[in-house]
Amino acid sequence: MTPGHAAGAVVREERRAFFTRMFWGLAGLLSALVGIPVLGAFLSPAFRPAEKARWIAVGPADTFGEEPKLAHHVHPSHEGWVNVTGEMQVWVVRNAPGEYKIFDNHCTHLGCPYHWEATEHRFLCPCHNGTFAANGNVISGPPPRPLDYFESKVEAGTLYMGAFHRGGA
Amino acid sequence: MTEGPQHPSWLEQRLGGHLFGGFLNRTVPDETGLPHTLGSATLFLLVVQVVTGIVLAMNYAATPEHAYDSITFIMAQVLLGPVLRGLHHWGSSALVIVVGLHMLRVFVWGSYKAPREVTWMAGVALLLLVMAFAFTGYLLPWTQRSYWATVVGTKIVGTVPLIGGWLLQVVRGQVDVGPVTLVRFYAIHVLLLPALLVPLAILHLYLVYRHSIAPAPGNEATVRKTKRFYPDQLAEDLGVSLVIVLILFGLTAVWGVPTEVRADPSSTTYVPRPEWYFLFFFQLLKYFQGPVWEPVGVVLLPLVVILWLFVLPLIDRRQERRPRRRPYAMASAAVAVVALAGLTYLGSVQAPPGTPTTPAGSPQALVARGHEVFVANKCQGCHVVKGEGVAFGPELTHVGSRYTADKLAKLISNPLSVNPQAGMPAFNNLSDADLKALIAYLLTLK
Repeated sequence: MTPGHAAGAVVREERRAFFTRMFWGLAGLLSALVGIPVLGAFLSPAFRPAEKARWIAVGPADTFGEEPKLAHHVHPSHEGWVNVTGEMQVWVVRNAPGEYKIFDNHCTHLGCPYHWEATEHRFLCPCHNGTFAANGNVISGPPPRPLDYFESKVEAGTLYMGAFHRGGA
Repeated sequence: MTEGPQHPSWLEQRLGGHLFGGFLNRTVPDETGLPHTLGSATLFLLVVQVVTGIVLAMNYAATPEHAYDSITFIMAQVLLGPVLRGLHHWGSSALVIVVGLHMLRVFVWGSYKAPREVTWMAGVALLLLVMAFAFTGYLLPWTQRSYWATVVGTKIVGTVPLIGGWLLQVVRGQVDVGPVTLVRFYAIHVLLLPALLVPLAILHLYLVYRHSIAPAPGNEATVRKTKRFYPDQLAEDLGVSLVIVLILFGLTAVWGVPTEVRADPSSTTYVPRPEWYFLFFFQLLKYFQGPVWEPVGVVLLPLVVILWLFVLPLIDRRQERRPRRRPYAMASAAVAVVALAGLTYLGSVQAPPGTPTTPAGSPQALVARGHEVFVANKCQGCHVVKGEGVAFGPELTHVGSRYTADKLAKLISNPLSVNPQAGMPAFNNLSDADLKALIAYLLTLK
């Protein structure tokens, strides 16, 4: 090989390395430019702040006692781009000091709806036999935390539910 | 990647062959350059449309009740939603332009000639698919503009002799453009057309690889100098794609996606106007009127042009590719370009028949403009009007009966001056005219 050939080979090699770097640089830049908005929008639900809770009437406060009772009420909410006005069910208990506890009606284990067993004086979730006391604490079974609940307040004899809280929090 | 014989990788041993190796590690004629980047730019834009379209579809509801609200949701609530939608919106226009230029380049170079006839035919089919994507996607935001453009666009199908009425119903899915049409267009846009696009694009690419890039016209017989496709030509391709994507970002940043009011099928004042890339056809139909000539312009002419494009490489079988030696081909290309550009220009400057009946400056026009300002500033992102919008701030359904114009002006441009607890940002960037229009609209809400 003559020196000229060798020099040519070096030039070709440098040229190739330059184009290779340029290709991968451009490919990375283009992927980022298009990928960031696409991924950002895809992951958007994770960054969306929770909807501000509103006080919603559950029913006349005096209809609830120390025996847990399932309350049905019309619950307007806003999901995505839709205003939903659906029926909602929550368990309501008034404890000894007269405070109202409003429980979300899904078991804290895997979200099955549970029910009150008056004879056993406990909430039973039929899916995996999780049981809760009337105050929401776990008695037995797999549930990892007490029942989830909503803030409550009574105004002019009407019980209202507010922000959602995880059980035990 | 290094030169010379390579040991097959783990995956290559299992799948056989070199992964993309044949496609990437090939040589192309040395004269392959900027004009040849249009094909890969088309592919890049298609990828942009697909990935942005997938995430847009995750936040879209194809019903007349919710389509417009879901678009508002994308613009107001989805992280980088306006960028996503801007890329998709401007990407569709860019795609039409780039595909057109790509086709023109191939035609002028005579690259459709043997052995690349089928490459060209697949390309013509892809062009039609891109136009079908543009037409069906246009309806989806369910705005006045998109609704009425689709009413007119589909109505054209109805002028086909004998089977027009039947064809119109097949296209619309029902007699009028409505909920069935919207779902139909959505399904065509996101399911049918991509299913056709992918195999055709793969066939097109495979044929480009199989027959390689055509050398420069007149350069076929000489001993060819070549260059590598990867990374030399591909780096140039991506460079052009980068310029295009930066233009899309620029358009999104400067103009965004034009805001429009919700579709109103009962509207009697709206003047439909298609998107710019269908304007030439819209304009053409003005010259073809009456029972005899209308079908000629609507059906015969487009069919003949499309058919001619398809069979072009079968008719024009001379091997001569130099533009100077193909005067008729060059003349017809020039006529086509001038006609398309001319018709588009005429279509854009001539007011369509039936200009708005609401005279500019009238109270109705002010209220209509006010509604546009309301929509453009995403007021429904925080306020409910007649059951539509997000109930974050106060409902505005009856706002006109609660406040005076002066109070509304203060509430909009400086909410804290009226209510120190106000959570609403100050909209003090509105022009006086827009603020006046917005207040006029709000005062109609009683």
